[in-house]
Amino acid sequence: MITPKADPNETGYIHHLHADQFDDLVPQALANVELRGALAKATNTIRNRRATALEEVDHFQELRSQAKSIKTEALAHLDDHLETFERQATANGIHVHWAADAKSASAIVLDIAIKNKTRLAVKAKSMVSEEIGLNDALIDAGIVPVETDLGEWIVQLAEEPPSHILAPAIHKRRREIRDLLARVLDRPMPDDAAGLTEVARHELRGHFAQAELGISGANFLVAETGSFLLIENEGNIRLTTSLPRVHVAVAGIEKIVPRLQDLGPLVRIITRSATGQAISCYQTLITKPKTSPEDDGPEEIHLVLLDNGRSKLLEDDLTAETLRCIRCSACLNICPVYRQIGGHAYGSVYPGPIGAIFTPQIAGMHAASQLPGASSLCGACREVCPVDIDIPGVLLHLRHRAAEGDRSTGDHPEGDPLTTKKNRSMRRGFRFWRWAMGSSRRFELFGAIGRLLATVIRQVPSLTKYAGPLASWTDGRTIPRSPGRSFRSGEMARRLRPEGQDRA
Amino acid sequence: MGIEGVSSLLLMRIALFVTCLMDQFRPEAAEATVSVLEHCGCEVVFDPRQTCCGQPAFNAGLHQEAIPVCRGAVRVLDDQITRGGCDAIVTPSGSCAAMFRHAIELLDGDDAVAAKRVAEATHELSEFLVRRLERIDVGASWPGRVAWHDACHGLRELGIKSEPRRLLEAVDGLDLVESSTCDRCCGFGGTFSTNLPGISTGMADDKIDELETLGIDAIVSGDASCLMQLEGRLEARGSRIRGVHLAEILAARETLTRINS
Amino acid sequence: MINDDRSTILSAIKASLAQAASARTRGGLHGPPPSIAAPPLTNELPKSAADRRDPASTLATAGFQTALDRVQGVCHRVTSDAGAADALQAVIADLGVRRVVRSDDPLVIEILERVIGGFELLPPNADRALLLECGIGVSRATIGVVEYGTIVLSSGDMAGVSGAPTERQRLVSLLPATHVAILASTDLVETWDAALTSLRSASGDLPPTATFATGPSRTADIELELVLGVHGPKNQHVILLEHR
Repeated sequence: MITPKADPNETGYIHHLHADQFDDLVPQALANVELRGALAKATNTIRNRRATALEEVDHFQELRSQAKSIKTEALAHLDDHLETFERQATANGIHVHWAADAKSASAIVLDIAIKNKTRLAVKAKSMVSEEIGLNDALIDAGIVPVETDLGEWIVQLAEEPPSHILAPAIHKRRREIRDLLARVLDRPMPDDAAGLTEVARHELRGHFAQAELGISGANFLVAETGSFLLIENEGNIRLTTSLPRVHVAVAGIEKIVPRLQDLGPLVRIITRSATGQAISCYQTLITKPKTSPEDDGPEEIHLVLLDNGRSKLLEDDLTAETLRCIRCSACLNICPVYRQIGGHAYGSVYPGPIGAIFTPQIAGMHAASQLPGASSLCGACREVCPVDIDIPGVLLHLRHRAAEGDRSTGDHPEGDPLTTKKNRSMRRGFRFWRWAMGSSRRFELFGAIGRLLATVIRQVPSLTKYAGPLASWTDGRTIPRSPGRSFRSGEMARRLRPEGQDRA
Repeated sequence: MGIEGVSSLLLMRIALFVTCLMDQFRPEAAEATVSVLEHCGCEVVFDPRQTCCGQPAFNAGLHQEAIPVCRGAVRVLDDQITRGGCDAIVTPSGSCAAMFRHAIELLDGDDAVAAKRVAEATHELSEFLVRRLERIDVGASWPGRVAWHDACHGLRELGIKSEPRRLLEAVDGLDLVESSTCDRCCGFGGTFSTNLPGISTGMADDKIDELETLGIDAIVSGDASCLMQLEGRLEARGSRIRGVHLAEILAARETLTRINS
Repeated sequence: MINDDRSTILSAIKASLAQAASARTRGGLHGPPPSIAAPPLTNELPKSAADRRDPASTLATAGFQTALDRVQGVCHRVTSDAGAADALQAVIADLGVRRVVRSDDPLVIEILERVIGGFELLPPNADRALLLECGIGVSRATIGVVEYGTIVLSSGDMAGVSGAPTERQRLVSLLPATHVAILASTDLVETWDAALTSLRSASGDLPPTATFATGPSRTADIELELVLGVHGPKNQHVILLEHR
């Protein structure tokens, strides 16, 4: 059961957030053999496709560094760029709205929907709309939102949240999808992916034509021209933004780029990083509503700029890097942790490495304090990130805030009660460790005790149940073999002592 | 202090940072590290005031505990390079070498300045041999079939990728095969390994499933914590694959050093 | 209320940026990063794509065709309007399509006049219900991108208020299962970035909407298996007029 975590009025509300259940969700995910099989296959495939795609690009690092500096520059003057964007877009006839928090954003969209007597809204995939809980707000107002991205449609029918930023149904096997559609549409379904896709095409076509409102996100907002760019493969975004009379786009404020030409490097790198394609099927640049009544397309275009806690991340150069994210999902696909547990275990619409840093910073550490620990700090995410976000660095920073409070700001340790309790016992353990490491004698003494314990436990593994971390280790791994002595107590180490040092 | 070994020309004086784990739990690899360096003509100095670089606490976010420990290591090593006549610091661990870079931000004032000196002078073993000493062949002999595991910190923070491979390829009798999961994390990650044990062992399994298809005798790494993790899981799975530290292979000289199952 | 949110957001951003700036000058905990630059991740130099390109395909039209072929599109290179009409005729016949819808681009109309019947031809303002039943949509591509095989579809400004009048094609190129785009070779540019620049009129204006389309629509949402033809067209043809 999903219980909403915070008030949508509060800044930093993330819908359906249950990231504090991470400890419980992880064993469930690990025990789910189907899920692990699906994840292994999917992440392997995407990883290989990405690698192939990048081999074809001259100077990937150069391209990456261009993308990084565009986003860094955009964030460095975010207020100016947002104002420029608003001015340009408004002059072009786009209605620009500002929403400080989730509730504000939903209210704006609802207002537009109701004014236009909307009964049915078609939705293109938008993580931001998931973040603010827009679908539920629409349903509460008696409006039916239909997801049109194939993966989103599937999880909508399954009444599940998406498990991946780009491929929402990546955790489902084909026959699960077949059975789901057969149940929901109440007729037999084909077995193959092409057949199932054809079913989706057919089912959703009518909705596109009937909907009064089309809702989308936006991949990039261009300050210079007041335009925004939407990237896709399926064509549902084109339909969502062409057929209904009114189009509303919701976008995080961090989506801004300064110039039209900035789109070049970003488009060039985003799809290769995401799916391994050289370029996605469709990029649609929207600048104005139709200028001729005979033309196709919406009569009204609205763009909602959402803050919801993002502006706070700009306080610090390191945390500000989080906002460079262009939502390509390369970090999810490479992350060995995500590969083991999938997206749902993170309990947030933003899973994986980016989710582990974005979610706690937006929703607050108390709501997601276990996520920064969900990493071995391997750094693969940073290596594949097209905008070079120092994800491991931010994870370390968040761990520090959770465990001790931030030294530089003097804040207190942040975290929910359970994590705070765990952190306290961890701190006690490390206080002992620090004392033990504080002198060579103690170091050698406790090393010797450790070797002795290791010998004993290897003989009697069941003893570890009395010591938490050791029990966790021996559940699946053996204790290392004990050497007879340490390095420093041996003859060689004695020979190597610096002059004038007879003992430690 | 004297130096046993072939070379009569001393190239450099090296301060050894042996790492807490190798010191207490893998002394044979620590001694192998020294042997290799001495064989290559270095004079090695080991200052026993050293204990740990502080990384375990730092990774857990506990700066209060990490700082005093890290500072201790930095001061000892800095002393060795500024007053002890050491030309460089060598450590048989990529993660510890990388930690000294973090130390620059972690420590304050004079200690931060010392940390910078230490970080600039510190090399991981394979990187030192290949890039500093320009040695590929260290006269080692180790018959057997192995695969190399790229430890994360060494690979991604220090850029170590080709060096260990070149060193291994030059080992007499060694058959080095490439593992397709070589750059995947072993799952250790410090406290991660016991906080999230299911994920940690799952990550190890991911690699081991593939390693088992390669027909290797051993998995080789430059990081003792990775070895501890992989060996723990290999043994629990009843695998015949052993874990070996790079230094142990590079120091091996007799043909009888083949590991028996 | 909306204005309140606007000033809340803008002042929050300004305050945050100011805080970051002062932390930077203080050299706080997240001040300048360690000054020791990490070496590049690999020792090898990036591969040059030029080494792999077939020398013959440096010609723009051939390059476009190769690129479009790679993404499962079909490029018909023709050297006359008659040739274009023949190619279009063949596509219609091969697919057995009975109903075709066209945009109102003059060149599209000209070419279609040469195509022998056997199908119903609808104008772009036909009833939506009919549009949804059309098997093929024919419209103009205003720009072609050689590197990817991309075509640019600009939405209409029929009255030519901000620049030349642009065809109405948005649903023509989207709803039918097959889209045929007419592209003049003089409208080819080498890169996506160049296409973006070309979009802007002499006065710097952008069309209301422009879509960069590369090949037929696709998805990999089901077990990452590639399926062509989702909501957008399943078939993407481009008739490339080498004589124009």
